[in-house]
Amino acid sequence: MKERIEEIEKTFYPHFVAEVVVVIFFCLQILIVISMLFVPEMGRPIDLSRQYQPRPEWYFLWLFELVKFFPGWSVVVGTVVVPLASVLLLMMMPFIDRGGSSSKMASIIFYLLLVMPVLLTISYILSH
Amino acid sequence: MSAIDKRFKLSALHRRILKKPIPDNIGYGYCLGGMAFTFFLILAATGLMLTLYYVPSEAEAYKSVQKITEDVPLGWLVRSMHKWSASLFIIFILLHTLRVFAAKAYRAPRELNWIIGVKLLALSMGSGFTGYLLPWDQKAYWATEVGTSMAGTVPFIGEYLVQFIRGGREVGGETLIRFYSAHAFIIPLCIVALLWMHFHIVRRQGISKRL
Amino acid sequence: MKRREFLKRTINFFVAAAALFSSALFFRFVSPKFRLSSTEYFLLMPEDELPRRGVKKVEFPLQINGKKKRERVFISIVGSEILALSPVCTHLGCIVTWDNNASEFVCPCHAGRYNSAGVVLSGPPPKPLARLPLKIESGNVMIGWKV
Repeated sequence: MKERIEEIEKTFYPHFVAEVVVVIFFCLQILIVISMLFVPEMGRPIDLSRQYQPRPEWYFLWLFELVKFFPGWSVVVGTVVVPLASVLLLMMMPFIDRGGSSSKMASIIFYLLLVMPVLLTISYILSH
Repeated sequence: MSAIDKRFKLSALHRRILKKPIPDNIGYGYCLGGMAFTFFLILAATGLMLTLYYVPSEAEAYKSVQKITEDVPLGWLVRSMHKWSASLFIIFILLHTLRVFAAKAYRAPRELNWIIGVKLLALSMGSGFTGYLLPWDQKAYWATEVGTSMAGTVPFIGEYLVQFIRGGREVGGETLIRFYSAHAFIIPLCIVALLWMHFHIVRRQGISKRL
Repeated sequence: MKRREFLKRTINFFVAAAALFSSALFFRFVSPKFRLSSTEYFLLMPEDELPRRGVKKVEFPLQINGKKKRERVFISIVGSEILALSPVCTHLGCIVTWDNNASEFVCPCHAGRYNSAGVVLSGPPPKPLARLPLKIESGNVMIGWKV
């Protein structure tokens, strides 16, 4: 009887932990394979006289591309205003979405925040 | 195992966690956050290993990274794993954010946890930015030059902000130590604190039901 | 006010005060000393080596607070004027290069372009390239550098 109850109700241990272990094992497998195949190379030592075209990590490419579009006095819009506003908007999501029609509004803002970096990253890749 | 348990009653202490029933409608979409956490643990482990050889000084940084990649047994693998798990960490955070948004799980009463999540995303990217400088090579130097110059475009306080971030007027030794401290201590501690809250709130409020 | 209430407020006050004080301390500790920069002159090259026309990249050694460095500057002859232009792009600090065919400075980062006098032609840079002060002293060209 006792065993039957245990079978009906799934508990954290061992049911869930078993799945978690499998998932973690899977993660590690992927990581180790990638790490062994694509080893990061050492860059050149710093040389201030050699001109260099920097490339940020992939998750900053959109920002690197974004600043191109704000010339002159508006540079600050691309470097600070847009990134900061994106983060704040993302944080405000629960307060933008108050149910009903505002829910749609929140979705639109969220997917815009998603599409903007993606498009900018593509734009970077295309122009290099 | 059971002999230890008999003496210390460990499993009884954690009974609430171990025997907690889980809803059976959760699919594999729910493990994205957990995967991100797994990569955070890997980052912490490989990062700690790297601190054993890495020297955060203007003169030594490049050489020590070179030593890690070429001399230290399996050093190349640890460094590679650290770098790749950082990327995977960000990817899984983004996927997790997407899933949570799609499930509308940020709605009341979970606002606070959503905000904590956004902070975690921002901190992770900050960690990536500060870590990028540490190899102290051309790529690192110029990416940091551009990245920190961005703060300088703020009207009035820009010049001060840049010096605050760089620890001086130009990117140099002070910047390297600053970024090292931020990358290895300050940001990870903040992430751990926020993660603790993140998980506790989930446990209090339960997993959001699918719409 | 009850004793319990008073104690609670005391605790709140001290915790808040400690938090405020320590964050102010931390902030002051982290922000570097703000140094006013002054201009010092360093030897760039002998006067007779100055180019007659065009743009030339010149490297020169300098020593600031006992630390030796090499810096670069573009010497640009515009009409009868000799200009010393900083190679640092005014957009986000990359190093510009001189494109001889187009006769303009190009920044590799975000494609900012300047003419030979350092004036912005196109792209995002907000200001022209910085002009460094030059003076000629007993047959030598000296360049002013902010230290």
